[in-house]
Amino acid sequence: MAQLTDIRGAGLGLKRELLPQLMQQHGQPPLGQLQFLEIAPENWIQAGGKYAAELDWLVAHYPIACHGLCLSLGGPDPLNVGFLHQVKQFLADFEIPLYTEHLSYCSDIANGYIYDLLPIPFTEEAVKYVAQRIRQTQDILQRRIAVENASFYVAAPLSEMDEISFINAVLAEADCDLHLDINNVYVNSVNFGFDPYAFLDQIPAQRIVYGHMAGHLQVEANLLVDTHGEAIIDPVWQLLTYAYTKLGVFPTLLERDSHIPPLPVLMQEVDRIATLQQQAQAIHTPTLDKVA
Amino acid sequence: MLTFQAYQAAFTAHLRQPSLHAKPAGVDAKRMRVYREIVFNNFEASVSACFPVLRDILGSRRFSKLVRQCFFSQQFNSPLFKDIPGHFVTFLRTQIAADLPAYTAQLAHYEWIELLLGQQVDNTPPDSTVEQFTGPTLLHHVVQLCGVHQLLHYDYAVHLLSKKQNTVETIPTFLLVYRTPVYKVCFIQLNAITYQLLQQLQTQTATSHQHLLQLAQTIPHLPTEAVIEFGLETLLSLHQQQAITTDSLRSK
Repeated sequence: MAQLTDIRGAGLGLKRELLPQLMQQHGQPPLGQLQFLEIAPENWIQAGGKYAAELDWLVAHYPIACHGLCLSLGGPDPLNVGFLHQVKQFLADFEIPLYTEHLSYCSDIANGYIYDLLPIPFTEEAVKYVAQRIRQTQDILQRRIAVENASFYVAAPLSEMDEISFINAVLAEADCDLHLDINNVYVNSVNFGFDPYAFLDQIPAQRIVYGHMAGHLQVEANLLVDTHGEAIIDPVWQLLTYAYTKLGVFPTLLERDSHIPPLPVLMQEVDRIATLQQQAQAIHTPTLDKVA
Repeated sequence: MLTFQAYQAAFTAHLRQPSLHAKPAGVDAKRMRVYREIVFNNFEASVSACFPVLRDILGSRRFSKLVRQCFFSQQFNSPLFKDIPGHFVTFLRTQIAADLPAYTAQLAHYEWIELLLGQQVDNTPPDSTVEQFTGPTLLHHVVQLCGVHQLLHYDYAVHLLSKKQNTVETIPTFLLVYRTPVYKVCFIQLNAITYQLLQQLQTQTATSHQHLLQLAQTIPHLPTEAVIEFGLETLLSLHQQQAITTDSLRSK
């Protein structure tokens, strides 16, 4: 059975189109650094047929983390308790040790799900509202969850605080963990003109369960869109290096959702994550004689 | 409603139907456009992947307009992405627009069924018999439709539609769709009598012989022997194509 401690090292967000290559190349040297995979429960719950067989294979070969998309923690409609019970059963059935979601919303009262991640206004009221829903989620699942800092493009005029203050207030109020997306920190820092390093300085390191790395699309000088469709750029790599130095090394996973290159090419970025982790660990691990 | 929720409501109303709902006051117009495009494009991609024939026939502009109407008029109560195309099928059933071909909803349903059956959870135990039947022995076995299947009845020959053939006659069309043990979704066109026979298989547990006797009673103008003979041939063929399975126990 996979444990939380099995989610370690470098990982990859699983897209279905990668499965044939993954099954074929599993165990071969190019995939040597691939230590865990991530799936969205919304893509695999109630999946039968070929998909059920694929899921069985995945669970048998890799530790899996679940990263949800549609829980709508910041949404105006009541939390979907029926769905949460499905998630709970899914995590139990496939012995998945970790479930994370986004600090965003993806539904409305008028029509239900809108199926995309939208920005919650950063207000005191929203902090209390979202934190309560996270606590409710943790109560139903009977486990801690982590929430991810989301990328966004529009600042709400009614916001009363900056993003990092909002995140920290929610984490404290809900007492939940953090899923730290380094690319999202960078994207938002460009889109809203803040210092991503100062942002990381305020992250509560002890709450991090794992991290995300991804590429984005530069639309304008001050507008980046979080497409997960490009290679990771150097400033984001530098930010990850800084995060490891400042916050300690955490498991980190590559997300790639469009323009997906062949698996060995993707693995170059996964390998680079692993290398940065090893370098950071080498610097920070105290030598035995120092401890003694 | 909390203050930030009023803003959220205005935000999503604008994303769903920008022609009717203005963006929330005070937000950057150019940035809002990013959301408009991303959110609708993602939704449209989730829909259109399932309906290549309908999209081809209607053209991308008309298809997109329908997807937009669906996006702002339907209730989306499932968080599972695989359920999005089903919402579109439901939406089309309520559309009686004069500029849409009459078969639109039925063609969409036909295209959606393949996706649905491909992913359906199969709770039936795997067929234990690997016997191949070549003759009347099948008559004495209980026969059932395989675990994942649907019997479909359309008013149009939807399976013949394509961009090149975008009109079809109004004719009762019977189809069996099913999934094989290697997860292939197959379609078989049926005549009305075979459709009736398979409906019996769906609702009653009986041997081939019992089913065919019952069927023969409903078509008195055909000799019973002929119904059994042709029926057996049909069932053998369906068994060979893995559409039906047999119970391993022979009836007395």
